[in-house]
Amino acid sequence: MNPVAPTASPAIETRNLTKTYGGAKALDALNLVVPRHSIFGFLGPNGAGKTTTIKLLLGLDRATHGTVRVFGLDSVSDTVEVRRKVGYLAQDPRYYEHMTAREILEFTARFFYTGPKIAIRERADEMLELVGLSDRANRPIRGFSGGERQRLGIAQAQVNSPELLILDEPAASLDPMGRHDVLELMERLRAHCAIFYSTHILEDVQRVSDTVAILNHGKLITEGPIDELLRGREGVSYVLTLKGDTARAEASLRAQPWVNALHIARAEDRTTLTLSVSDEHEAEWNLLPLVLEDRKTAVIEFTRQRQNLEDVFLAAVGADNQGGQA
Amino acid sequence: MIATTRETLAAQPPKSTTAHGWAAGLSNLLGQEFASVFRPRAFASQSLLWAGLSVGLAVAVTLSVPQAGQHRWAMAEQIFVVMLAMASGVGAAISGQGAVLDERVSGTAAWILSKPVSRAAFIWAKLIGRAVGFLVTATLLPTLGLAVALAVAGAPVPHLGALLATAGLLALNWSFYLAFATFLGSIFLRRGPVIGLPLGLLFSQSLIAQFAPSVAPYLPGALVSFSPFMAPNGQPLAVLALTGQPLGTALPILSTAVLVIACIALTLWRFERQEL
Repeated sequence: MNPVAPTASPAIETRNLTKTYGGAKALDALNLVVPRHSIFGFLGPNGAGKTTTIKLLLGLDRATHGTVRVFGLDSVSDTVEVRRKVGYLAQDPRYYEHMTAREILEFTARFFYTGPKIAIRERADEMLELVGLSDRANRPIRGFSGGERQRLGIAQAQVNSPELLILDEPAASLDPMGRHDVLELMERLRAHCAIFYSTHILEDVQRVSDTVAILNHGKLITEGPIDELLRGREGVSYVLTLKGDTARAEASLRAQPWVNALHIARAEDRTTLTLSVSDEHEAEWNLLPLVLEDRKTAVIEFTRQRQNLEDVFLAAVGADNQGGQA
Repeated sequence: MIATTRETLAAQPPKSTTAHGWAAGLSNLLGQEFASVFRPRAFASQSLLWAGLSVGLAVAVTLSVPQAGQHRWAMAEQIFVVMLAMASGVGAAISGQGAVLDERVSGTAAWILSKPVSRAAFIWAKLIGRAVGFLVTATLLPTLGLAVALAVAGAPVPHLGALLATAGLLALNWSFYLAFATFLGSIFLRRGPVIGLPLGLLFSQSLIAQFAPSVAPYLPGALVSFSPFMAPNGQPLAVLALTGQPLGTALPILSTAVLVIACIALTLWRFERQEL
């Protein structure tokens, strides 16, 4: 009898997932929860353990310690059932070179569907259309470019309408248009499935992900909703460039309980105030009125400073590397 | 451009597969293997290759030797067995190398096994697909070819049972090299040992038997080799079968069958634990 997964289980749940190779820890007690219908960006420098984690999720390798559950199913004992619910695109997807794109998709589809033949053919054709390969459907894939292979990879990963898509560097070999298309597709698929993907293109992660985890040396160093991560530990920051006498405005801002820190930089006749705030709502409604109360102060520029994911990534990995060296 | 229609994503899928356990994915993989073996061009070229190497060579050598009568065709039968045993042994080792090693190295094994496919099904499909291909193109068709050649030449044609017994012994011989190379492909990631060890064993069995005569009856070579160290009565089992003589011993058959089963069992065990 096929195992039945609890309906409320997250898409992925790892507990103390550890993998060692000859004594070296590739993955160290990883605890992750990927909610259903989320787009989960899995980041880390080369060798951080991202692909190892993906292999463990799919049962392509065995954990040294810990467990992986996909929709509540154990990735070792229920591995076939897990893979029935998953679509996977490898970092460097490889297929049988003599087969055509359509043959690859029909072959893949037959792992999930018994038929009829016409339905499998239609399914393959839908996938070819989905990734824009209909005009190359009958060409052997040995002549495909990297981008075309990647598109075919996305098609074969999606052929079973999976509940979870695992994508290892999905946009790595795509041109900007191809990347745009893949990100758009991922956003549309969110309604149908959870997407767990690793990438080095942080701009893409920031655009489509709702949750991010950063891995370094096999350890999870940061995880959370992307908005929280971008907000940072210091909270939201605002930058004001002022002209005139700014002493009163500075004093007034310092007195506010929602201002965490105030950094002042003066250059020529301008003063730049950088504030980190604990209460975004208070800041939005009161910051500018407080400054403008003083008629001797003019506001030249006002911006809400937002870290980008690259800042968060570099800070987290840098801090972890320094901690490791200390 | 990637399509953006919601209808595409919402299309109704065909009926889902339900196979699980060791058989999950087996029928699809087998279909793929058989399609590969029986592709008309590949099948024709393989059939011609094996028939040419065995029947063609046996007939050519026999006709070039100035001997008369029944002995000439007895020699043809012996050359047929030796050539086909050696060539199919080499072919099976090369084919076994590709079964697991090539797919591990290229990454296609990881792709297949990211689908609802059991590892056992992957191995069985590779072995069965290749074995069926070899059985038809490198065993049955050449044996049939030999019978036809003998009939055309007016020589006595072995009866069906003798032909089938010979084909069975030849198949058992190459099964060992296929299983052995497949097993090695589940251990090593380099071609050297995976192809070198089976071929080394194929060509060194007579030497092994010379220095360790007690081992000789247990080696697959005892089924097909004319070496005096392996076939003390001068005839390998496959030739005895072809000429309708009693085999005398079943030990090489049993030991080779055990070796084949052991290699398959070890492959399944090893591949189950293999990182892909």
